[in-house]
Amino acid sequence: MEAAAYKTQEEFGQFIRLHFARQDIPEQAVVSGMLTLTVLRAALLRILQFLRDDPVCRFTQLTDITCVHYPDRADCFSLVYHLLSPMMGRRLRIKLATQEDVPVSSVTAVFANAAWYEREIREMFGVSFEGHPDLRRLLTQDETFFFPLRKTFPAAGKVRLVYDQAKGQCVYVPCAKPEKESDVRLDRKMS
Amino acid sequence: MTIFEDSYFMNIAPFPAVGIGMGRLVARLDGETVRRIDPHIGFSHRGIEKCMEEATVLQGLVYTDKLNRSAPFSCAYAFVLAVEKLLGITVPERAAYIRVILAEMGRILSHLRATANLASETGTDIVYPLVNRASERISALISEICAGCPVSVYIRPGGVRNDSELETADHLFAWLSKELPPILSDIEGLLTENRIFKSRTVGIGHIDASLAAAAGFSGVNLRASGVKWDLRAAEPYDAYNEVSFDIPLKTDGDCYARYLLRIFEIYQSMSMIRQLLEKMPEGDVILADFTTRQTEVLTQLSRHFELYGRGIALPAGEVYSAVESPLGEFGVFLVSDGGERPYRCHFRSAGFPVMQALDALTEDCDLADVRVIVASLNIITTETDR
Repeated sequence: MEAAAYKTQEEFGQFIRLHFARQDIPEQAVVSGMLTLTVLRAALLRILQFLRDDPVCRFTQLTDITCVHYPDRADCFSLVYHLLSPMMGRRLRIKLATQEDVPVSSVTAVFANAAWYEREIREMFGVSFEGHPDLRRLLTQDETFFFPLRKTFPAAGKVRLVYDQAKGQCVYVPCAKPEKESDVRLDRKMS
Repeated sequence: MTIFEDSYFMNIAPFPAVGIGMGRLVARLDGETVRRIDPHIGFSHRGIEKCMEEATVLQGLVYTDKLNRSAPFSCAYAFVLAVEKLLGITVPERAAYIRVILAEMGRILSHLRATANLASETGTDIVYPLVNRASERISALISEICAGCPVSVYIRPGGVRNDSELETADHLFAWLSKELPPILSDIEGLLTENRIFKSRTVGIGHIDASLAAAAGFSGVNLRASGVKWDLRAAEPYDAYNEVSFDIPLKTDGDCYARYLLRIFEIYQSMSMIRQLLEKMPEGDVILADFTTRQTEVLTQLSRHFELYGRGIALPAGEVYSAVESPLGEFGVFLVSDGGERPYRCHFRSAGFPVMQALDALTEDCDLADVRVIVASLNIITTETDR
């Protein structure tokens, strides 16, 4: 078998990078036992297509897509794609750094089940996707005007819903600002 | 897919009608034939991923326990494995054995409930009392192992919370050999060759292997279509290396195949528990550094306060760890910045891609079959929505 030639994760990463221009996959690392490739936005679809169709890779299943928010970075969102090859028993992580106002191309054309993951990322982080068939909300209600999983959003929330006796309906009121920065973070400062 | 002019929309809710959680299906019907289904989820969304960022590992474990109540330990297990991978620790052998026993008991419980739900949707309500009898016994046994707390932070980083009593093994043996088999044969006798049950499930909700794999299916739902992929065998964690077991496989990919696989897997889990009990090694059940018992030894006492007060410090890095939960692959993607609380914790739920594929699974099927298909897939919306 040809695949047996790429025994270590590093060698396998080198094999994948051979098929693309050097700038398409600028970084490769093995993080906690999983090969991680950092890719460029323009090459994302091509790389995923190759990984799915190549007889040595056979990453036929998209395990999930998620996002991590780093407010301090210029490209503050890191999209993380996990791929699985049941036939070869391999896993692979692909990372892509992006910003809020530049849309990422949707990978629904390559992996159909990416649709809901991208919908979730859209509503939770505010990352937009290009070429997605249906970017409605998935988990939150229609009045959600914030992105809950961003680091800049407090876990306690910014508004809360209360019943207004005078108006006879539910209204949003702002949450009181905590006096301390955060009670739960207190012990970290002590150490 | 043709949408006819006289087609109309219909809300199918609450869904699943049996089992845990809630959701809504918006179906486009043409007469009684389903043309499209649009699942609306999020009714059980509790923002657990956000809560995890504010919680230490031990606090976060309580949230993960609540993700899937029908299969105890499956979600917490994945989180604990991810934390241990990040810390680079190996648990004592005895703890690994106990964990696998609990995970398999949870699998039996979840599969039994799924079977009862499916039977109920096809009109065989009599399976419920049988399953309730079995699941009460399983809950009692789990309580016995976990020292009295059925939903507990029992599986934790470094091992398990406490060792169980000596006679627990005897109780488990008795349960495996005397109590469970008659219930299982009753259920099988009621369903497997039942003409009505078969007419409602055989050939219904069919999905073939390549579609199921591409849709992100895992676990029973994937193996029922003929893809042999089981994380317990492919990426064995803890004590799954020590046991021998078969991976039951069907190629039909319909509701009946999924039902049969669940029953077969229950027998495999029983054999696994028996093997592990026979080989159960002696020794500690938790690493000394992670013991959270109050003792009189001052160094341990201060460690106890550190673990509870500040939490376990996670080294910076990121890790993905998955377990074969009864619903399929349940994964945890953990990012740490070096603090005690995860920087980001994402759950890959097994039901999420399945829910997404409902539209394809129910295409051109009868309205009455939708509930059967949903029950056969064993979707737990608390796990899907997180």
